[in-house]
Amino acid sequence: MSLLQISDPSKTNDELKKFVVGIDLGTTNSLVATYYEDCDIFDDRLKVYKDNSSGLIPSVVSIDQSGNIMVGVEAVNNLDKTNTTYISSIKRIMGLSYQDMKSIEFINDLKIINGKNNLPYIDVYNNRYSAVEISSKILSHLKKIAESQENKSLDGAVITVPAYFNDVQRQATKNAAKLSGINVLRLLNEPTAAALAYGLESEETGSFIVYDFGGGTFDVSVLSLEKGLFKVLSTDGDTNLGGDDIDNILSYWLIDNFLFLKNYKFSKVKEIAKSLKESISSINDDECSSITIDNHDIVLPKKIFHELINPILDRTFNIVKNAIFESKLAPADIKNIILVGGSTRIKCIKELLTNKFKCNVLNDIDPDKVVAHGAAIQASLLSGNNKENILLLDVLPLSLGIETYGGLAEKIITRNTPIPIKLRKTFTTFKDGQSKLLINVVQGERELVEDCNSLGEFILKDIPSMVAGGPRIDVDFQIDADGILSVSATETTTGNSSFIEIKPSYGLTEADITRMINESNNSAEVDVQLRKLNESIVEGKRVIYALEQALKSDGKELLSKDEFNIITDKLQSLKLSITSEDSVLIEKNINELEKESEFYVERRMNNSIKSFIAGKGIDDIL
Amino acid sequence: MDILKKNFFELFNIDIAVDINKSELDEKVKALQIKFHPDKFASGSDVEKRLALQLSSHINDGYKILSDIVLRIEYILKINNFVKDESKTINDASFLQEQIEYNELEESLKEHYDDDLVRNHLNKIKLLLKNSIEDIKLSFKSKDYETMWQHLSKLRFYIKNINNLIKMRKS
Repeated sequence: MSLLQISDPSKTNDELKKFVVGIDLGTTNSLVATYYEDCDIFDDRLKVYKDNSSGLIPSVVSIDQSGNIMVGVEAVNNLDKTNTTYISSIKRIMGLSYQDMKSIEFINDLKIINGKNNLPYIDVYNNRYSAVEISSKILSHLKKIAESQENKSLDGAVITVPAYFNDVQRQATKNAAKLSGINVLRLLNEPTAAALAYGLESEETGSFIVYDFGGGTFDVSVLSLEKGLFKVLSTDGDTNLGGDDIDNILSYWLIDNFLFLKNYKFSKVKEIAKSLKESISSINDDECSSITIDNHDIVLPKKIFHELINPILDRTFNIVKNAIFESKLAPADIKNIILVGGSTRIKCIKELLTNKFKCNVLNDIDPDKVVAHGAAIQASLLSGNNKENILLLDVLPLSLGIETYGGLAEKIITRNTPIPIKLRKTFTTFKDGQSKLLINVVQGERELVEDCNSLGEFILKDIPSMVAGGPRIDVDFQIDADGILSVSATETTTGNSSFIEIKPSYGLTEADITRMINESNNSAEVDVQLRKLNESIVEGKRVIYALEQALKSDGKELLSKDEFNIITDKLQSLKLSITSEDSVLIEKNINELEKESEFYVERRMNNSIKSFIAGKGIDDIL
Repeated sequence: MDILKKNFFELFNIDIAVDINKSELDEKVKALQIKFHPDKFASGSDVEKRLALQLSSHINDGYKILSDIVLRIEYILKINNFVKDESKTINDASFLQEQIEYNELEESLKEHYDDDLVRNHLNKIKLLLKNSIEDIKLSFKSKDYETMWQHLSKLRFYIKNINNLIKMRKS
């Protein structure tokens, strides 16, 4: 039985309010949070959902011999259990090929095998799991926690990714979300999310650096914050540099200096390293951090700790310098550095940054929560729950190129270009009657294709038979606001939309994902039907509401009488079908209405931009 | 959308000119993005989302072109339907001489770096660059696109040289 909803009459369309969350899918820990834009008490606006009493949910999955899967706090409790495999830091291998993996430090006790299409799989008692699947287990867990605490089903989520993630890594994250049944409103770059949280809290303007040092990734973004607009000027980073590396270095040092640890699982030594690291910031420079393990005293002098981590910190500082250079700002223009990520809890980072870059270092918002905080705000903005006029403009983190003769990568969209962006390139054939063309799309800054990351091969088929150089094939490379590429092509002499086949260089194909979703969909058929019906009713109501508002404001102006009638007829049919409890019918009517009103939407958009150009200044819309 | 067929100067409602007011352009682009970015249609219909993506990409593309002097001049030539085969070189003996001299300079600097020499040349080229922009403006005024195109080739050459010399100074 559901409770009768009593809505506040001062708030219109409360029933259209959506349950949306921000998800910080971290290497070490993940968070899921929602933002109450209407809440009067500022501190209560962010609600972080807890897994057992902790909002920081370990990004850990454990799988036992009979295939039972545990996630989060429960999985961590299985660390010492026999016949159980413990998978952590999965984010580090998201979107990587088997070959890529060899070049990074992904150290644990896992058995990694090379699967279909060069994709690395984790072999757990003869079951194979891809990084996308493991990541989707974490996302499902986060979804479940939020849904069960709100007793509502989730309408959508903003999921954060490192700014420096490439197209394949972004796509992998989106696929993981798809697998866990989450509707992704947007992939948001982690430093941008943090800047959003800070920008709204402090209402400060000017140029900022976000220094985001997480468990497994390091990101830096330079942003300019002004009223209503958060604009990323440049971004740089290393998707394989994080607190994990500090733990690894410490673990090696521990094994070298405390020989009894040689008999321990590496993951156990790493836990010891972590707790030493966490306690070291609270002691004086000439003191030691210590811990007792199985009657052995382990001591780590703070001096040695600093010596060990210095090379890693220097790498991060060089990346910051490069990002400032790319932003075209003078170092003196930068006002503040925002600290994000658990690794910035290491105290000396703040001191070193203040000295090196001569600006204010901010860490007022909990560095573990700030990314989820920003993501939750963005989710409420995108869902329309939050009507504030704020826009985030982000950039492409890595240049996009195509392979040309001799294995060279020709850049077609350079990094730090604002997104979304579209680029058109015209190709032709070099043999008479050639019917296929292959385009290898790569991402990265290096000149040779082999040093860049291949995003996939696009095969243009059914090119009309002509002499060499005859066909003109326009290929559009569209990067959307998530930083994800899509490619389309048209042969312009005949007007044919050439058929494109996309072959990812490695990883999962669209078909793989669909199959996996079907396999995992083992919930009862009735539930699925009911959920579908609810979704289509909500969607139908949304479409009706939007269209009625539009018709009221300019329907008479922009539509002829006939056009107006056709649309209102379709609108009526949709309204009637909403009460029918038939999701197929509702969806059919939604599609028909959207198709029938497409020209009207286009006309409205055209019209609004025209009147916009004609007069109004920026003050009118803020 | 027929708005996509307008040229970028029309889209941003600024005059077609070789020189532009950068802060005015920034403001116009900002205002358009705040209104038409796909995020503003995230809970809209698929049609709206698609149109916003197109429009927003178009705005970013226009900003990129209009805020870069070389791309902007190329674009002015394009909207005036002036198309030139880029593989053809211009027929200007004194410019050819300049190119030869510059190449010799770069060669000699690679062998023996001389910071004073680089600084002198930077100043010299900056002056040439200024002059070429003035020439471009004049030819644009008289709608002499052929001459405008020729001066554009010089402008490109000067910009490239300045960047190379600055790079040398840095390393």
